[in-house]
Amino acid sequence: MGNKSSKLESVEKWLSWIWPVCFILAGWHYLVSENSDMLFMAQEKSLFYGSRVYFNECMQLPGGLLSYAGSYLMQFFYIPALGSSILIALWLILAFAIKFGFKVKMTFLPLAFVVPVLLLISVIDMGYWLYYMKFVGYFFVPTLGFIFVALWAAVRLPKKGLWTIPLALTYPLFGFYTLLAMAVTALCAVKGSHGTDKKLHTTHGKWYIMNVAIPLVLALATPVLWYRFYTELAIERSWIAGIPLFEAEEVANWTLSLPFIFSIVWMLAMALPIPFKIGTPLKRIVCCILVAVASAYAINSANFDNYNYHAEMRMYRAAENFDWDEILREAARIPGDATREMVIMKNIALFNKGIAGSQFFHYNNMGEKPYVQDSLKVHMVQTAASMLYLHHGKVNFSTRWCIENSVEFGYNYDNLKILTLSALVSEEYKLARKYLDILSNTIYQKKWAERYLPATSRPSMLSEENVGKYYPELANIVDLRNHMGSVLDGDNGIPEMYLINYFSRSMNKDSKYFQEMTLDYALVQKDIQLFWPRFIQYAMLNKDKNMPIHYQEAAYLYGKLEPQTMDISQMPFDKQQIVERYERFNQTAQSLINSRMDSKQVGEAMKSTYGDTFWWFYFFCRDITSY
Amino acid sequence: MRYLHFYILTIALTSILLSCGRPEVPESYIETQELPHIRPDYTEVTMPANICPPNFSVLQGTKNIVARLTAPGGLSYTYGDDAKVIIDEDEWAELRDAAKGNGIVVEVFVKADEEWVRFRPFNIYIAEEDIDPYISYRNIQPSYVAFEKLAIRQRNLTNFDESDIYNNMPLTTEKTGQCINCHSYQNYKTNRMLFHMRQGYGGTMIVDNGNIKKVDLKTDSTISAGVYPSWHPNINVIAFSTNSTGQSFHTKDVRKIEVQDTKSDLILYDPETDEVSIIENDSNELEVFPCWSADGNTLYYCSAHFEYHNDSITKEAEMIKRYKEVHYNLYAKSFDQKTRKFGKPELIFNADSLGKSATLPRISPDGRYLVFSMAEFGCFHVWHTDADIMLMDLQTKEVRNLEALNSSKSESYPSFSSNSRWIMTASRRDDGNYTRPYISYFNKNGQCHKAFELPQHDPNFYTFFLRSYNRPEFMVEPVTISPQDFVSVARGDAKKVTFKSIAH
Repeated sequence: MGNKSSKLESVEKWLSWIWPVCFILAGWHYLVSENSDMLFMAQEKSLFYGSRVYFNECMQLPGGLLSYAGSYLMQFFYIPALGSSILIALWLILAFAIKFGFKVKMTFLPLAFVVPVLLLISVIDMGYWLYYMKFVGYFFVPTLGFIFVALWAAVRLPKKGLWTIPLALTYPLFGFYTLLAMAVTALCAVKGSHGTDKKLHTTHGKWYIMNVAIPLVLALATPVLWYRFYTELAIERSWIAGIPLFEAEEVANWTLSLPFIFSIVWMLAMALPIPFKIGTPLKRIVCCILVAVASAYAINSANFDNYNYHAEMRMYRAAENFDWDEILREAARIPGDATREMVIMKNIALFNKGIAGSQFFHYNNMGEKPYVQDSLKVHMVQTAASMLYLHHGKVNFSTRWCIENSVEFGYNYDNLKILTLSALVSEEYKLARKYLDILSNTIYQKKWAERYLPATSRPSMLSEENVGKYYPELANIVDLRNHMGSVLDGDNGIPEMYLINYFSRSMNKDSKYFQEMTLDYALVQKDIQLFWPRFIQYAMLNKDKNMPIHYQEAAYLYGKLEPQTMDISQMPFDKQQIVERYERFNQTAQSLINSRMDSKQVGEAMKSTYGDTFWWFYFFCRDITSY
Repeated sequence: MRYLHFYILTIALTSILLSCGRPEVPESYIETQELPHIRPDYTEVTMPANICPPNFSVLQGTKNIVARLTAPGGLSYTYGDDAKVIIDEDEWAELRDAAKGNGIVVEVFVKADEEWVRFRPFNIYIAEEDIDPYISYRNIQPSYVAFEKLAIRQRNLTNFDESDIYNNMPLTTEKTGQCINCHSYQNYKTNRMLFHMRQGYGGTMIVDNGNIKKVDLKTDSTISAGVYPSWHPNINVIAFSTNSTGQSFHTKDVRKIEVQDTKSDLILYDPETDEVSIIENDSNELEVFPCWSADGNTLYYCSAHFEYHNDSITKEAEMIKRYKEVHYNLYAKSFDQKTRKFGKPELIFNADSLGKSATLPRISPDGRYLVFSMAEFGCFHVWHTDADIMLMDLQTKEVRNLEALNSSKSESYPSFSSNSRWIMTASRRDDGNYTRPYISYFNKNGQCHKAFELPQHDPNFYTFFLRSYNRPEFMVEPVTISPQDFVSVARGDAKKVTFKSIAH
């Protein structure tokens, strides 16, 4: 029996070192392997620049130091593996600070990892809230805050309630976590397990009352005492400054705040005098395994692994790098329907590669709304409109949505870069210089900024003649912008519909790129009257080229549908791909309709054979909702 | 051994202090006739006798710089660290006082390629006159439709102290966002002031002899609540415009936004009785931007004649189509302070005849001059790159461009200091997008001097600050009501005003 027990004890010892390793592996898997794209995007949606202006801005709310440090660390997700390593390292520090701060025995080490596990969940569960968060340094602030609390517990000052008086001075730096440290102090005094001061063990003595009462009173009073110094702070929020909240225009999601609430409760529970009476090694091992299994299950369940959510981010990053091939590879990999944002990015890639006329319908054009777990309303203007407008040459609109979003959610690297490019294209060089100066003050965006800085002092580099030489990635944007009319307009917050309407109703005889875009959007409109003038204009501008297959498909179909509008009898359609294939398409559709299938079923049945044609798009691609 | 740490600390601190010593002017250098490239540009500007130090950065591609500032009489200090010239406030006061009515000579030395270069010295002139010690403004992103974090702030011009007058964040929630705007004072003093809050907890905050109240200025007989205000200098009444305002977006033009009124009128509000009455409400005129004369006997304002022709579309749609046809002229109406009756409108500047639009009139407290913003068309000149500040001599009615104050970018919202010697404008000259306060000395002969940008402690502040300074206003004293006190009142309901009658 004794032999068995000592074996279990050695297993227990061995396991105590396994837990941190398991946590590191889980953290690495869920951060780096599963969520690299999301972490990179989170970094793009954050901002840190080494300036007093930025520091002062962070300090305008309690917990300012955490926000400043958090946003500094967010930068490192530019290399997701690096940012993840830092975050995991901080979680390890937190776990061991909890272990030492709350005297957790090695055999119960998983209990010290509960808070890091909850924080890991808080990183990977947010989904589209990523675009709607207003919390600066989100991924790091709670971690740093809890480390502060655990270290406070570890340095053994909590045993004396009077120490919470100077602790109140840290409220501007740590916000809510200062209050939590005070609460921990009070509970530690109840627990009386820190240190050997006999007075503290006198549970009904005056020291006991002071050590419990002072921290509790201060935890309640500190925000009120500091309130006068914070003009941005609502009094009712002063007790929770530093806890991420998930609130958008019409919805608040409290579920996403649960990891933080549980973490707070757990920290308080650790400070409470709860005796652990799981005596035998076997029971302890089982208990730890149960905690570990529950943690693993919670992490896996919380991970927001919607395919389109991640693919959107990968496509967005590719668009940011002007990597059109990568966007098309992503578009080809999508297992189901894409989101509308992905469809537009795919279109942009095709426009830029000059193959929209031959491949526009080779990809899935059925777009759906982004998948959300709650009632959050995801709007493209928040997720990608600026980027989409930029690549349509509508730089005033890309600027507009960058600014609108910066008003709502703060400036970030992503909108500063789009603002820069928009300013360069619209010949606002001083403005571009301002944004580039800010980006030059960052660690990872500096290189990007250096590429465009020369253009601010040599505007000729962006002229229509030179842009292809110096900044080929901007050539199409400059071309579109230069050939755009100047009118007063508005998108009513629905960029896709605006782009479709704007381009499908525009014409241009000087820019092939612009003109082709108008024709493609006329196809998307499925409007015969819009199609023909743009088709003819395209043909005139591209006399030296064969007519791309989709334009032939549309011309042939519209000629058949409305022969009175255009006589197509003399048009040289491709016999095999257009004339014969259309006949087969028509016959198949007729036979399926005759077999009493409804339109949707016919579309599904014909998708594998004709899903790559304009005809299929025209008849069966319906019920698309833009957002 | 026991004191080792103490010794190490002492040596380290001494080293730090020694390394922070004053930079020395190089013994040998070559000279160039070029002016140094500095930001903000304080070369040859005239500054008030009570202004804070004009700290600046030297943009010559090196951090190795020295600047020597010398006042008449030989008082001289040197500065320079990391390409920045940060002037000690006490030393600046000495230099400034010694140079009053004269100039401080600034020499900039730059070390380039192991050799020091001395740029052509420039002057910072110090006027005899002070400037009002405070200004206030709204910090806001150069935004379009959205609003979130907004603050009306006040800045002490004699140092770098800045604080919030009102910040909307304590009352702004996701469901009830709050826009704040149009802060205004009676006679540059803050015991009578106002600002508006829109949307969440909406209303106009009126401070009357230090007492705050929140009123709803919208009545059934007026277009909207009060918008652009002007507090009468002598009696307790406020002229407002009421506006039905829309916004649309340029597809290509760098102006980016057009803000247009489809209709607008003028009203008079009495804070004591909470009554409003109509001043002007011609349906074919867009009246806006009221401004009282210094003696209170005249109300200046802008008005554009605009008749809608097309019944098949909305007024908003027609305005969007014809936005370039909107040209505001300057008008004046006499006002009897006893009877509170207005006279008939008198056209005082016909901008329309020049194919221009005149907006935002302000009168110098000495009563002699009127400044306004002028651009090709429209009323919202902060987005119009061609907008310049113009000056009208009210004695001769002569109008001229204040070139020393203007730039190739938008200048709008001009205002005079209480002694009429300083003109401040909201200018976009830095980058075309973010509005900054620029101040120009306006001498007794009606001449404007080169404008200077509001100094900041960190000379790179404006590069990193991503908000505009909107509606900069002079004040002779700070607002002493705390932002929290404003918030307490703002949480309450607004008192509805009553419509009285037509005032003219």
